[in-house]
Amino acid sequence: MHISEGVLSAPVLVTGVILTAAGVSLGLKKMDYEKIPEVAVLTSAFFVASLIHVPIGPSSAHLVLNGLIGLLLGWPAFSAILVGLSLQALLFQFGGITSLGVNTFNMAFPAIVSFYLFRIFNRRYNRYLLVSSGFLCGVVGILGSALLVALSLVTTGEAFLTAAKLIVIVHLPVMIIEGVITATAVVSLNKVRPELLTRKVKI
Amino acid sequence: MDAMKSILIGLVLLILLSSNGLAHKVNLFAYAENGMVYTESYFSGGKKVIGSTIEVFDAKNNKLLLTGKTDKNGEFSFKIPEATGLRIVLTASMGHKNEYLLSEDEVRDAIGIAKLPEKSPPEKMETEKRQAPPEKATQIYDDRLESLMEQVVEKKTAPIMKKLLKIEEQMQKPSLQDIIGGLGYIIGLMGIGIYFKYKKKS
Repeated sequence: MHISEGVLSAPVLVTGVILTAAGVSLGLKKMDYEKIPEVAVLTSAFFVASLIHVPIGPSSAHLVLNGLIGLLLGWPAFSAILVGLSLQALLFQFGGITSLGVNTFNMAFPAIVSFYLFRIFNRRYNRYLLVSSGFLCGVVGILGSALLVALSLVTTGEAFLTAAKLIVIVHLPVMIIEGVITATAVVSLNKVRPELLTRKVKI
Repeated sequence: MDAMKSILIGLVLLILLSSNGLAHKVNLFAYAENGMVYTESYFSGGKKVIGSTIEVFDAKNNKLLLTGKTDKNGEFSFKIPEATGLRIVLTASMGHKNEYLLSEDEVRDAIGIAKLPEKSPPEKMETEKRQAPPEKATQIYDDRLESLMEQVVEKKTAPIMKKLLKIEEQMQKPSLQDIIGGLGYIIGLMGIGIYFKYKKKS
C-alpha cells in the first residue's frame, strides 16, 4: 500500500499533495474539541496497524484499518492518516516523504467513502445491517486503496488492470480480516458508546 | 470512557503483536565476493521478492550497467561489470522500490584489484623482488599458496558475511523504541490540537 520514494512521476506526486492538502484542511475544520482525543487514538491505531503482517496469500500485506478509521472519524481521517503515514515514513521507512501526499490520499479517500457508506446504510437501526455495513466498510477501505494504488502506478508504465488485479489479490485476505475487525469494532462500540457511531448522521 | 479503555487495550495488544509481526517494505542486500555480486531481496514480512527487476548503475555517473530479474529465492547474482561503486536498484511490484550501494572498495576487493593503482607500495614490492629474485619454484608455490589461502579465508568468512547480512536486516526492522516514540508524537500532537481548539472556545 505504501508507494516508495522515486517510483511515481512529479505530476502524480503533486496531484496527491494537492488532494491531500484539501482533505486535511477540510478534516481540520471538522475536527472539534471533543473529537481530538478520538482522532489521536485512531491515529495511533493506524500507526501500529501496518506493523501487523498478514502472512496469508502470495505476497506480503499488512493491516491498514482505514475503513474503521474513516467510519469513526469522517473527514478528520485525512489528518489522522497523514500523521500516521508521516511517522511511518520517518521511523520505519515505509513509503517515503515525497510520496506522502499520494499515499495519504490513497488510504484516506476510501476511508471517507466508508464513512458515508456506513451512514447511508444505518439510517434505521438494525443489528444485521450494522454488522454487514461494518464488514463492508472494512472491505471498501482496502479495496479502494488497492485500486487507487494501481491507478497511481499507471503513470509508471504498469498497466492498470494487471496492477490492480495483483494488488487486489494480494490484499484479499487483508480485506476479509479488516472486514471482520471493523464489524466487531462497530458492534462493540454500539454496545458501549453508541454515540460514536450515530454522531454526525447528517450527510 | 469504556470505549476509550477498550481501544487502549486494543492498542497495547497491537504493539505486543507487532513485535513478532513485521512491516511492509521491500529490502535489498548485496555483497561482493570473488568477482561476483550476490543480492538478496525480500519483503519485510520475509517473503522473497520473485521475478522483480534489478538494475545496476555505476554509482559515480549513474550509467546503467546491467539489468536482471530475481529468481524464485529472491536472489540475483552477476559478474562485476566494472571496478567501480555499484548502485543496485530493486523495483518490486505495487510501487515498492529500494536500493543498495556497494562501495568501490568492496567491489575492488572482490575482483582482487589493488585499491588505488597509482599508489607505489605494490611496485616497491616488485622492485624488491627483482633485487632479490626468488627461485621460480618457490614463487609458483607462493602463488598457489596465496590462492589457496584466499579460498580458505573466503570459506571461513562466508558464514560471518551471512551473519552480518542478518544483523543488517535486523537493523532495518522497526524497533520498539520507534513504535513507542511514534505514539508519543501522536499524543504530543493531540496536546497541541487540544491547546489550540480550547483557546478558540474560551
